[in-house]
Amino acid sequence: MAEVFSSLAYGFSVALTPANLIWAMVGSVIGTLIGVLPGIGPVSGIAILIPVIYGMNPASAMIMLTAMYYGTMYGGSTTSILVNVPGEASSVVTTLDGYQMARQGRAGAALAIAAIGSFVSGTLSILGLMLFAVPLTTLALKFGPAEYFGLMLLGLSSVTSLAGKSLVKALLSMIFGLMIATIGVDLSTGIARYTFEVPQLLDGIGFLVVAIGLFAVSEVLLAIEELGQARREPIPLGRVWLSWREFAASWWAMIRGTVIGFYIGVLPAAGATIASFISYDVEKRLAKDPSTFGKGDIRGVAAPESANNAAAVGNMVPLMTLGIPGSSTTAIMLGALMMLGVQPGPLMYQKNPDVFWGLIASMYIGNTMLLILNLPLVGLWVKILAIPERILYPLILAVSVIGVYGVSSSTTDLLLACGFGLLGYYMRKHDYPLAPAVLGVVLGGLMEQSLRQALVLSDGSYWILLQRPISLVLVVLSVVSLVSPYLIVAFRKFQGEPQF
Amino acid sequence: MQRRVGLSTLAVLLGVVILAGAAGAAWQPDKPIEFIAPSGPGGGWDRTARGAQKVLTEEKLVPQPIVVNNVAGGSGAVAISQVMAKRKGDAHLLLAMSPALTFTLALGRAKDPATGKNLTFRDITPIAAVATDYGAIVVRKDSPYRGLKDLLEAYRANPAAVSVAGGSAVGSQDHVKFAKVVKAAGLDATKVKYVPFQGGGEALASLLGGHTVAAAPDISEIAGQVEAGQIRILAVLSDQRLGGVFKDAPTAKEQGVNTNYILWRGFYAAPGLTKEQADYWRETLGKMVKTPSWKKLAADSGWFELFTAGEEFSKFLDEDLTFASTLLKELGLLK
Repeated sequence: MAEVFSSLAYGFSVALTPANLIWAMVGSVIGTLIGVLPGIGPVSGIAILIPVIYGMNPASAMIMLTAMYYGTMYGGSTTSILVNVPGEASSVVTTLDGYQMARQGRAGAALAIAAIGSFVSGTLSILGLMLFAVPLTTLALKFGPAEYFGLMLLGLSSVTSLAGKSLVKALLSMIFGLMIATIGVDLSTGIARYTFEVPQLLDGIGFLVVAIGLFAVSEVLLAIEELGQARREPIPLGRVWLSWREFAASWWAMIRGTVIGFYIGVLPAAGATIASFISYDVEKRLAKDPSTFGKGDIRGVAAPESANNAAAVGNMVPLMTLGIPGSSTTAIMLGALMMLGVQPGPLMYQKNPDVFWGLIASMYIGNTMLLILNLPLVGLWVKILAIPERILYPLILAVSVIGVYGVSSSTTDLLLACGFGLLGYYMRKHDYPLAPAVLGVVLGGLMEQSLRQALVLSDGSYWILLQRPISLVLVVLSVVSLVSPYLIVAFRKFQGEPQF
Repeated sequence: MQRRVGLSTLAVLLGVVILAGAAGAAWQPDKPIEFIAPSGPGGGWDRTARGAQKVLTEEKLVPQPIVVNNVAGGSGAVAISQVMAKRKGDAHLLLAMSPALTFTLALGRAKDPATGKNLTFRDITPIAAVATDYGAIVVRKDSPYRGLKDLLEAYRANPAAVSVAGGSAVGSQDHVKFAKVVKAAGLDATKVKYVPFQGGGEALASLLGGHTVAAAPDISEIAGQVEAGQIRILAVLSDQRLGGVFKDAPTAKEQGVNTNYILWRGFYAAPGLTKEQADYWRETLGKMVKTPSWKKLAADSGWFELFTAGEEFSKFLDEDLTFASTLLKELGLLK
């Protein structure tokens, strides 16, 4: 243990040089911006920077890239809260309560708790990474296809927490998402499904296209309609700052979000998005009065925003201990490390201790920097709401479209986003919640793959899902979680208690 | 009369072209050049395109600036169909490619927009391969299989006991790597128990976690794990032993299984280029691979040296495509 801290001290000596502090600052600012802009995410952000870092000192380059990665996690919540358009996949669930808070004039509090939650979870997770990276890796490797299937099922069961008025509509929305996830070349057979000979559909429909369509485009359509009828009330700017009571209420949500997010982040095939959904679900179930969720409960922002940051740190564990990328972002980082002449893998901390420990120390510094950067920005972001909607929404739409097109240069994606926009408009008009559709798109592919991988390994026997202890627990938890709302109602009926 | 003028003009033009060729200034880019990476940012094709852009610009090997655009989708299918539809004859355009494109073509995923026919390498202008990576067959360090022979014996006895993890779909690279080895050993390749993952990282994690018995990664993906002794290479699918951390890893050929799996990385151009234009790019890329900065960039990416261009490269590609189509048919993935 003492060795860890002396190494960390060495790491700080690497990271605290003026040049590296500047790189961390540059990374934080770029990352926050990329996070705020809907459309471009950490993957494209890092890819854009790779030509810049080539030839840089590896420690400095990685300090900048990780600061940027965490910056996107901080920034992702901003548009979710302010305008109901998620900046990243992992901030979709933040729209549920974050946007409601903004409508009630509490945007400042929501943004502040998102930043504080990110800081708390980031800092705790780095501690976790430093102290428990190796045992956690061993545990993460125990996750095979059957276990991932269980985890994805558990993630999907969080749909019950995302339902608004009707669970059936939430389930329909999720099934629609799952159907979208089947489009493209099927990994297990190599056959193209539902692509209609359109080459652009061979890789499936990306989350980004679905989210921009369902959220941003439909928001614009609704705004147009309501502006004409002057039905939409202007959002009160209200008190900007977070109250002590709100902070205290969020504390345990942040801690639980951190634990859930970090562990899920360590698993190579899972990630920040599923972590954010599960942590939201957990908070809603633990709450004394779950009905406040979806109506501007601050815990509904604190938990997922802590979870996604913790997962981003957790993602670094398999990269740093095994040299295995756990997400598309860390895959790009691995490429960047190799370009810098550092071979990521089990020997990295011996062969490149300056990079390894410098990186860990810089994560602490980056997190602090991001908090200092983001808290004053809260006041600035809130002012965005003062922009008239007829200007604001076209602006958001323009930025989103540039984001979609900039990453893929594909007009097909733009047309798809328009289509999803019309669909999102219909769904909102008829009270179908949007988040379950995104949940289906994000988890569907991985869930199907894991199931089929498990079945290949078991020669077709479904028992593999129940024979392995971790997957058994996860499957049972998902079933309980799906049927529990009905059981509780039935139980109350039986007891003759008043129903809610 | 008209006709005679036409002929003499042609003769003069030909003379000019020949003279110009002799003078060594046959064709040069005269406007900005576009490189297309047919994958998203950060992928292997993206690194090939951006690496070449960097070295060509810095070493001043091209007289015009180069921009890199990502046209992702369908393992190259989207980019190639765009080129066929809109860019025929455009000499200011190069596209990065690798054997992944061979499978896209073999599976009939890239069609000529005009005729609807499946494209082959003869429909585009292959320029050159500029670097390479190799396939490998690996197991965990505590695996009972010490060499390729052991694993193949186990496969012969019971194919279902040898689950193989890979980072690409059934009927694509990692699956075919293993199937190719099995076939070369004279065994039934249709029985391979292949478990596809989303990317090499997840496949490797499943191997390290003991969920699968073997994996078929690219050499460049596993240097770190090999160095740390977490995985054992049963066979490198190159013709000769590789250097560095891989110097102790035997090839499949050494173990009596006569096969290889070459993951070349290179470029192709639009169809309809003149010979001068295609030759310009072949020569330019040939100069590029000799520069120290390209050598360093390639080594840092985990690639090995390889340069092949012109008819030699085209022939190699044709054979590769025929082989892939035949194998996919045998595996029942293609009719």
